Amino acid sequence: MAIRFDKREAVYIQVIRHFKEQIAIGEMKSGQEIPSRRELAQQLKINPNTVQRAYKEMEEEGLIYTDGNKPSIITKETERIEAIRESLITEAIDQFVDRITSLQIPKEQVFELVQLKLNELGEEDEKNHD
Amino acid sequence: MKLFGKLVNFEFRRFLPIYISLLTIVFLIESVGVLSYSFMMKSEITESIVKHGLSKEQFLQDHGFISIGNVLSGFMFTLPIVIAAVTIFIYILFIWYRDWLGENTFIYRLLMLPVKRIQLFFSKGVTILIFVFGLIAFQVAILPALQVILKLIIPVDYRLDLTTQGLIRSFYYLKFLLPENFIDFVINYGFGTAFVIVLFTMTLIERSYRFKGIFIAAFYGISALILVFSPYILQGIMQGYFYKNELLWMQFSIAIVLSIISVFFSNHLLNRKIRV
Amino acid sequence: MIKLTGVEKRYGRKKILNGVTFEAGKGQITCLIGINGAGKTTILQAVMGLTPYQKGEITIDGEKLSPKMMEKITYIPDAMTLLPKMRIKDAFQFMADFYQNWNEKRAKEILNFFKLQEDERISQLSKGNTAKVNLLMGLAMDADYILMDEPFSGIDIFSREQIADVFSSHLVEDRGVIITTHEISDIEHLIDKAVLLADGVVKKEFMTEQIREDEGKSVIDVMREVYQG
Repeated sequence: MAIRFDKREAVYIQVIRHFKEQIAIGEMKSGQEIPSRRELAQQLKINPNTVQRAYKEMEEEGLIYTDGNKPSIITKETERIEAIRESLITEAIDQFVDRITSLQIPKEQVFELVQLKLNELGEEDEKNHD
Repeated sequence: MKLFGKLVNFEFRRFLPIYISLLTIVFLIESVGVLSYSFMMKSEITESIVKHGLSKEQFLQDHGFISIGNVLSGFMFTLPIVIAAVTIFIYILFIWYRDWLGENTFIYRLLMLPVKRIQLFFSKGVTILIFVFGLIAFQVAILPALQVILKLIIPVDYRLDLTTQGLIRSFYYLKFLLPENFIDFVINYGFGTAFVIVLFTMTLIERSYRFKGIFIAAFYGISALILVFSPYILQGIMQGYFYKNELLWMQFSIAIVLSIISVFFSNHLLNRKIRV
Repeated sequence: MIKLTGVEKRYGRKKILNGVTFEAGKGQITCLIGINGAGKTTILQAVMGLTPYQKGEITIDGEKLSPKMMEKITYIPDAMTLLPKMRIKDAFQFMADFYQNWNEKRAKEILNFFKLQEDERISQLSKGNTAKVNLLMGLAMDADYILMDEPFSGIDIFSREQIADVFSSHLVEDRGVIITTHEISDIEHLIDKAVLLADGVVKKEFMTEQIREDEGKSVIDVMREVYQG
């Protein structure tokens, strides 16, 4: 695991976002064990207290779950995972819409451009698969 | 207390290589002294008896008995004692300065040991004393061995062999260093120890105040010297009122008081003023 | 907690520390930042009683420095302080002789971690390895607080990485660490707290995560404001 950190944003928030992304794309599976706070701090070369904070928040959000002394695991509740995915999508859309509206581009043109871009990416994907 | 022993042991081992070389030098110079004396006397014997046909009695009348005692006051025995004394004197200063000025600054480690810092002071002092006594013991121990050299070269009829005690008594420096009278012993080493303590304190003054410290240390040292000799000043004023013995005891008491003050002062410096 | 309150130090007429006040907690990594001559090293030395100060107070968990405190707090200076003739194992023996809290097992573990050999002589160590041995001597003690003076200065990039790894490892777990540096980029994400020094005073003291979260500033942004603004 590696994260390129933004030096101007709280590291624990970036760690949580990274976890959410990994869960949303299925890189981390429901019920999977996550590294200990020490292991993750070593992997990411960040302060263990920061990891501690990230884990605590994720625990409170119901993202991870700890049973006694066992290692923490990703939540098994599928609704939670679904909710995470949705919130990530909403967040991305919100950001996108925010930018686009500030540029004052007509809706139709936006749809067109998005369609075009997605098609382009799709073709590239196919090429890469060949 | 256990840590104090370890400190002394540590300090002792640090100087050991130089110390052993020093002892070797002492032994070598003195051996050469005895050897050259023995061969010189042997050729004297040969010359007077074989060449001039003198009798043994006549030879002894002219030269006296040949004895190691005759060289003990000579150059070859004075030199090693001077070398040893100078080396130890230098080491009294060096034992502190090496911790600051050595290749690596060991004083950090010493000051961070979980022992009262005054123990560093005492451990270094005790180490110096051990070196002094060790040197004296070594000197006493090698005298009979040196006498053996003489015995191997000079025939028994021409010799006057000395006992260990006789050896010590005819060796001027040893007589001073190992007085037969216990009180003299205490006084000699009392003064010696006070000297080391004051010198250590002067070192610590310099190490605490650096450039300014040189002057304070010099002032401290000179004051101590004046104080120790103040009974003689008093004697001058009182026009010879005191016995010589009384003067000595006054000096001795002053030295003890100075030592105690110096130890307290050093303790203060080590705890509050010292810098790495 | 290590607490400095109004610490002042003069050397001759020059004021080196001019009323330094800050705290460094246990279980946290506190970083003293400042250019050379800002008084960082002097602060660490003052905490350890290695240099005198004229005013103010320094306490460690509420107590003043004493000989037994030397088992609770340890200082890793910028320069080698072991005797050149010693081999690493002699240095271990020296530490074991004098410190009850010397942890031989951990010492060997760190030795392996840094890929050093017991038989190496202190005088033969490269600059990077000297820094590592220094660090080892401090970390191998079961001390609550560790003070490190410029652990990254003047050493190669790989040694720096190895040393940086120490800060996120169990070797500093639950301990209070104070480190000084004039170069923050290696450890920006490793520290809990930054104390910015200039001209012998603390210009700013802040928790790094908090400044990122509340103000959206990196440690370097804050440094820029303090030192140039």
